Amino acid sequence: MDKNSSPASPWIEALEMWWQALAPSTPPEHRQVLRKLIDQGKSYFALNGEFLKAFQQAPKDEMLPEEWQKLWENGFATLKENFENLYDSQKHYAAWEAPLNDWQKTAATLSLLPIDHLRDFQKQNSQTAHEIFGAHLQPLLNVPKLGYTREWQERQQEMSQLWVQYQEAQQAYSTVFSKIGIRTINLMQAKVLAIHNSDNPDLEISRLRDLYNLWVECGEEAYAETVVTPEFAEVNARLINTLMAWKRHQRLVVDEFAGMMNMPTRCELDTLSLRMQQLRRENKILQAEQDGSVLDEVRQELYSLHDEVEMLKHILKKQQSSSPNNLLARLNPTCVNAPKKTPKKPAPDAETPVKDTTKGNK
Amino acid sequence: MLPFHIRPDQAVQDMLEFNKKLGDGLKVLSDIGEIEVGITPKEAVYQEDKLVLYRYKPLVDNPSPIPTLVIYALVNRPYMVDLQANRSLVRNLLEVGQDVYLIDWGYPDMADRFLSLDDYINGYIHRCVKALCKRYGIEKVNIIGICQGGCMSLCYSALHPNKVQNLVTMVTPVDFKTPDNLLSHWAQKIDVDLLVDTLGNVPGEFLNWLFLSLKPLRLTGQKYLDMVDSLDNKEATKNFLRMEKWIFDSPDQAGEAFRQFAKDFFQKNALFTQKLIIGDKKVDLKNITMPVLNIYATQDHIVPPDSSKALKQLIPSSTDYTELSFHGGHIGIYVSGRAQREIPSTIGKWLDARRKA
Repeated sequence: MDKNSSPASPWIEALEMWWQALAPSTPPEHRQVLRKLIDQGKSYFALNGEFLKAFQQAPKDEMLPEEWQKLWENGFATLKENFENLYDSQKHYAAWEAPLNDWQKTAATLSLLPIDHLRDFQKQNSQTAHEIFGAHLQPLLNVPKLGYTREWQERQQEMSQLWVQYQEAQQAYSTVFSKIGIRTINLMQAKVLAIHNSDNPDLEISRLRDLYNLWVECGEEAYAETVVTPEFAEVNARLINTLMAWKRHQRLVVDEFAGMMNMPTRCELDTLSLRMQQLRRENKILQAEQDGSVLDEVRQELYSLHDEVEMLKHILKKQQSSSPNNLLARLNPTCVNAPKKTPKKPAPDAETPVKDTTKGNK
Repeated sequence: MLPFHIRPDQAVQDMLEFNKKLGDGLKVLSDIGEIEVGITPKEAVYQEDKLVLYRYKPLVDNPSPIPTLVIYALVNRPYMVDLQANRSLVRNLLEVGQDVYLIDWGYPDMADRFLSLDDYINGYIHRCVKALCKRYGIEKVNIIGICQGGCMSLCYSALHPNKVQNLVTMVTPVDFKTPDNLLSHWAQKIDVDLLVDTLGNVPGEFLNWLFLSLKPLRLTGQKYLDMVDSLDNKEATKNFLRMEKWIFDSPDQAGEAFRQFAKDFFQKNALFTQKLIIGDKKVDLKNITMPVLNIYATQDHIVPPDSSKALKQLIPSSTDYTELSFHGGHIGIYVSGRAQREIPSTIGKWLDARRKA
């Protein structure tokens, strides 16, 4: 077997081929869920493959403790080495691809341009965004802008810089996940050792699925340790903020084009929407004033306050009767002895006719 | 003891078994048809913009004379409270004699971008409450606020205490800065103004990503693998697909409302510190004088229990405060079997004991 190939690779390929053959015949409404099941199956096989490769030499009951110890240490060292290699080449361990993939997909929906092309760019280049920027882009972007289109050139330069900042933020985010991956392996090693030292036969891992579940447990533990730190909050926010800054600049550029073509810009539409919303609010207030509902509300509030005052008077009266020297009663005897008078409340209006509006809400 | 004992033939068997289950499951999925949600019969009684106020058909002859209005979060769709016949908070509330109404916020688009929390609370919610009061000839209604809808219900009850008979809050965050509030921890450094100014409305996909990031390996990996094990069971598969549908059915968030919620609630913790302003009025939780039932889930990874329990100290004027702890998670509180037995009956009894038409 090729040193770098995983024993699970043929399984992954077979699963993908099977899916490619069957996908067209699956119900479209469930295709997305099925795709997720297939992807997770592939991650599952990939994870198993890495473990089987790392622990090619199966442990035996008759092994000496030192042999056993060496076997596990070598196995986990291989796992970590592979992980670090993967990290260096900008790829990630299959099980950790899901959250990163999710971000890529989310970012794609937030952008005017498909973001996935940037991912391919990353895969094809082992250099970091910072290195690429420093070596190739920065000198070009530093060239002074001249002539009639100077402002336009500056805008392009700014967009490129914002893009690079987003790439750097994405890389920092990926690096955190790589560290979580390594921490996952360390935790797994500790748990395997704990199982070894335990006498409980139920803990023994005899199925691939148990191995996967242990991996998930360790992964979530490592993740939970990391994401509560201020550093992660910083990296996470930077990922979002830099994408937003880049996208906002794109929008400004698009607006400029739209303006040149005498088309409404996003900025203008926003201004209109804002004014419309303000008008609608004013309209609702006027309507409420006109149909008397504001007056009703004030009246009801008055009744509530009146009830409260009556209740307080009642309490005071009781206090006064139990203690004749009550200071309040001596200061203002009319207050506690005032006659009870409840204003008449308006009769409720008739039921409002309603129409069925269940359809067409989405 | 050997911790690993995976024989090569067993490993091959495991992988073959997985493939077989997937293959068999494909047939089940092909036959399963469309996934239905929100099954309890209902009628629309009020509509405004994209909002629809529904009344669920009562299941008893003489339901409670005071209607109960369910206010769900703006995030995700409200049919979570009526997912399927045997997992429905609404249906169970109807069975215990409540008269249940629910606000469906709809799907905001760019025309709704400037809807603020003031528009939602003092506008939409207030007009729904007024519509109900008019319909029944009463002054006050019961409110059940859920999650973010619970925050809005608290604001509403503080701003309009004379319109709320009894208030029930479910998995409602109040203190947004408890140490275990991961979402809040992440939100502190996000430039919310830049986000909203750039995107306008905040896409549902973005919020999904945030929620799934709370437990990525379990929520984006393990649960699908676990599902493969149950794919041969049509009912289990349907349940799973219903939940998937709900999770990814995420409306975009009206930009201005999102801006205010993210900044004032998450970043400034203004509801807890009593500095929240909605419209031009201060939200003073001391105005909440009506009875309050506060339900929280002990294993909630989105709204930590301490975040909900913080309510007690903020509403000293409510002399009738009850707390209910549910052993489960943020979603389990609506859909788990135990929740069906415990939550609606408790709410029903609590409301009935405080009925005052």
